[in-house]
Amino acid sequence: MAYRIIEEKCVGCGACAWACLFDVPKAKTADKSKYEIDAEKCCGCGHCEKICPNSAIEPRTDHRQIRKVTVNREKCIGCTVCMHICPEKAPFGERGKPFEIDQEKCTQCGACAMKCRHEAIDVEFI
Amino acid sequence: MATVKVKLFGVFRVDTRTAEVELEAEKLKDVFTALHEKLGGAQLDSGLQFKDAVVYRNGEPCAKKSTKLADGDELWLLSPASGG
Amino acid sequence: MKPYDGYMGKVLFVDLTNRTHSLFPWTDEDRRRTLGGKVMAADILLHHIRPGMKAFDEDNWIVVTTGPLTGCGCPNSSRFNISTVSPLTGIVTSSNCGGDFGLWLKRAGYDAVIFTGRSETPVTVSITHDDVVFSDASALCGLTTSETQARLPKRTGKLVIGPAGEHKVLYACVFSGERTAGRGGVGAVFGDKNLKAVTAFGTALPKVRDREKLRKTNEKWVHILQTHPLTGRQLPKLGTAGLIAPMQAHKILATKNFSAGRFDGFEKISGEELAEKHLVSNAACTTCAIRCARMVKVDDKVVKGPELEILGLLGANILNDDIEKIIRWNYVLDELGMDTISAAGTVAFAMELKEKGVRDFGLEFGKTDNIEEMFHKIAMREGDGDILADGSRKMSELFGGKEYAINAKGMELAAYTPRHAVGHGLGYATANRGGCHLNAGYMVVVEGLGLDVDSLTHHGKAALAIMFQNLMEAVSAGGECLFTSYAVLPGFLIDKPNWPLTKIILAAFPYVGPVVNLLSHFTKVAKLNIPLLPESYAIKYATGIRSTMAAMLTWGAYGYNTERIANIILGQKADADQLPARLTDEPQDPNDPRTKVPLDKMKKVYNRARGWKNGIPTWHRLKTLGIRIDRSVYDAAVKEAYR
Repeated sequence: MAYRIIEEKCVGCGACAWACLFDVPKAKTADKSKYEIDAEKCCGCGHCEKICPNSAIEPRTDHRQIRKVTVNREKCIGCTVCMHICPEKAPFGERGKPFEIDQEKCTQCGACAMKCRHEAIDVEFI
Repeated sequence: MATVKVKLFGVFRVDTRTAEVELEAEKLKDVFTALHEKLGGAQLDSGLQFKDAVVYRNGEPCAKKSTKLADGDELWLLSPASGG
Repeated sequence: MKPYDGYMGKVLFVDLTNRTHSLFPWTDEDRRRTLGGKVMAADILLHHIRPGMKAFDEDNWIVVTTGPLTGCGCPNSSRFNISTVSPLTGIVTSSNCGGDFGLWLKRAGYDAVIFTGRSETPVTVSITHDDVVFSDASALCGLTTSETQARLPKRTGKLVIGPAGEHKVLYACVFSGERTAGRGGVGAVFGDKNLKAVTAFGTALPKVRDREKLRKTNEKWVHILQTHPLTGRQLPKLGTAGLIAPMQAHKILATKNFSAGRFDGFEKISGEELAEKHLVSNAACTTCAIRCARMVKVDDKVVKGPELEILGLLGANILNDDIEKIIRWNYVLDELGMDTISAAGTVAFAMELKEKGVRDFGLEFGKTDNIEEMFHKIAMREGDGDILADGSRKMSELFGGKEYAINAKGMELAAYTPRHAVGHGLGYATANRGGCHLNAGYMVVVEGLGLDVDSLTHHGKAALAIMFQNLMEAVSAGGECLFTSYAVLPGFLIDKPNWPLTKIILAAFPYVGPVVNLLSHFTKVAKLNIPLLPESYAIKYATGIRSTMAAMLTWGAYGYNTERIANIILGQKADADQLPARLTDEPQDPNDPRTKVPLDKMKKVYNRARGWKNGIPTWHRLKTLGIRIDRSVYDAAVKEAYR
């Protein structure tokens, strides 16, 4: 699920660009008075939506929503990057061994899958 | 009728892109009318009008719209609000 | 009872001597009592300092605190605070900053971080939710503030000092992004502890109590900010620089070391000149809906441009009408890492010392070709720079000229000269941290720059100063930019200064003293929220704390009194709320005896209303506010203050 910025409501405060762990929101103009989100790059973690002071960020209606995120234990080497990037601290395990995702904590944002360098996280879309 | 120099400051200057104007006017309120005509009052930010300015005449506060002006007067029109 | 939301719930304690870290105890009761920011820091410092503690003592603490609203989606909520014993004034300084560090610190899981001790070698401290890492900062030593930041990991919050901090210039500052914790010499304390840089990184965001209500409040808040004449129009279009012309009009533009209130060349150093000839674009602190900062070009680089203070203090105050020089000096001072206000005030004092034949530092009013060089000398403490690096009060102790060393409690005054805005003069004198216009209650906004209350009367000024001082403390403590407090002044009072209703209200203002005092005393009266102050609603919905207008004023009074009694313990004397004789004894306009600050008169009223005696909070006042302090410590400090 990706987000979009409602242009008329954007006040150019840059909070979304700061909040995004993947550097996705970008200023549209040189004076940074409006921002936009590249839907292809957005994983839908929702941090920008939480931090926007003017409710100018909403989920896109046309993007695919994630149903479930799981670790592929055959490919996972336990590098812990997913645990560090997760806003809810859902992945858990021992460094060097395959990790697991706590489905109670997981909000299906997909940030871990975006960050994983070993293609070890499987994402199931709705 | 007096020939006066009007210096614009604050949002008046930024909105009209004008720093200084020379005008013919009898009273202060005529200056506001003349500015509106000459510079297009519509350029000002919504709701703001020249007559809302804080006015100084030759360095002293001048609030009365009916003030009679004299030749060579220098008027300063400042933003109603400044803060900082 | 459910624990408060909005906060991350942890305070980090870092020992630089032993390179260890731990958690500092801080409970919900502490949060409810202090809210956050500078008030929280004041409380922490009060219980740590001892009589005679000095800025460069190993056990002086650097207390970096955020507010609960930071990271909760509120507009203008990036503000964090650095408090410590100041090397410039010898008392507590609290220095506020709009940079990203506070936001990142909360993401790392902490509401605050306290540094104690001294690192044996230059160090960078890196804070994440997992760990605190100490790494060697030798490669960063000598680098400017922007060079230092460029070498640190990109996606982190940063606190850095420049060469001025490393050389312990008494007014060195700390940078976070393009913003600075400017005043009081916090950078020198970093330098003394060999703390060259701090970084913070994390991925969490604070949880809030009622997300929907908070969201609605924030949207309304943004709307207020965007439609208010000050925050929605004046500041975005002209920045703080837009104040030069109104200050000139009101005769409060400090000129030639505060000897006059108007400067012939004011148009050349004005916000209008800056906007028309030099502005590249606006810029903003993260989360800000106002966007007042000015970006300019220096040496083909786009950098942060001058604010009002430096335009006045390195313009009118030293008889310089070349704005390009000021733009360049601002950049140089930022890179060296020095408070522009104190640097400028010290330079002006040096100029007057030369003019009076007391001491020649090569600096002269109107002479601009050797100032940049002097700033470098100050930062490196080379030659005469070593003397100027200690500030104007120290210099006046060495050379004389106390009457025109324009400082209060050792900290140089801001660009507003108070002889034509006497309430502001009271504010400068009573401000806890010294000659600060904001800690003063920023009375100029009431005395001409926003509203137009009679600027020369002493009536009502004490009451208004107290109310604004308290309110602004609380606004900052929540994590908010002080510009959000402008909304308290209704738009129509500002926009229609010539309306009959406006004139009546303004005429009545000086006489509202008793009413304002009632509000301050019987805070139960104000147990409501006012729509013009969204922050008190936001605190409620973010944290769950029962926040109201009364709570804001109470947090403010708590903070103000806590800092004040801490200062007394540190050695501040009775009746230390003073101004240099130039401002209190000589009328700015020889034909108008009212144009000087009637400080004694206003202080009498001020002390009474604050519940103080000679600038010292009474025991009764401290107890009423719930400030915890040992009776024996209090008595000893008060006794010493009268010696």
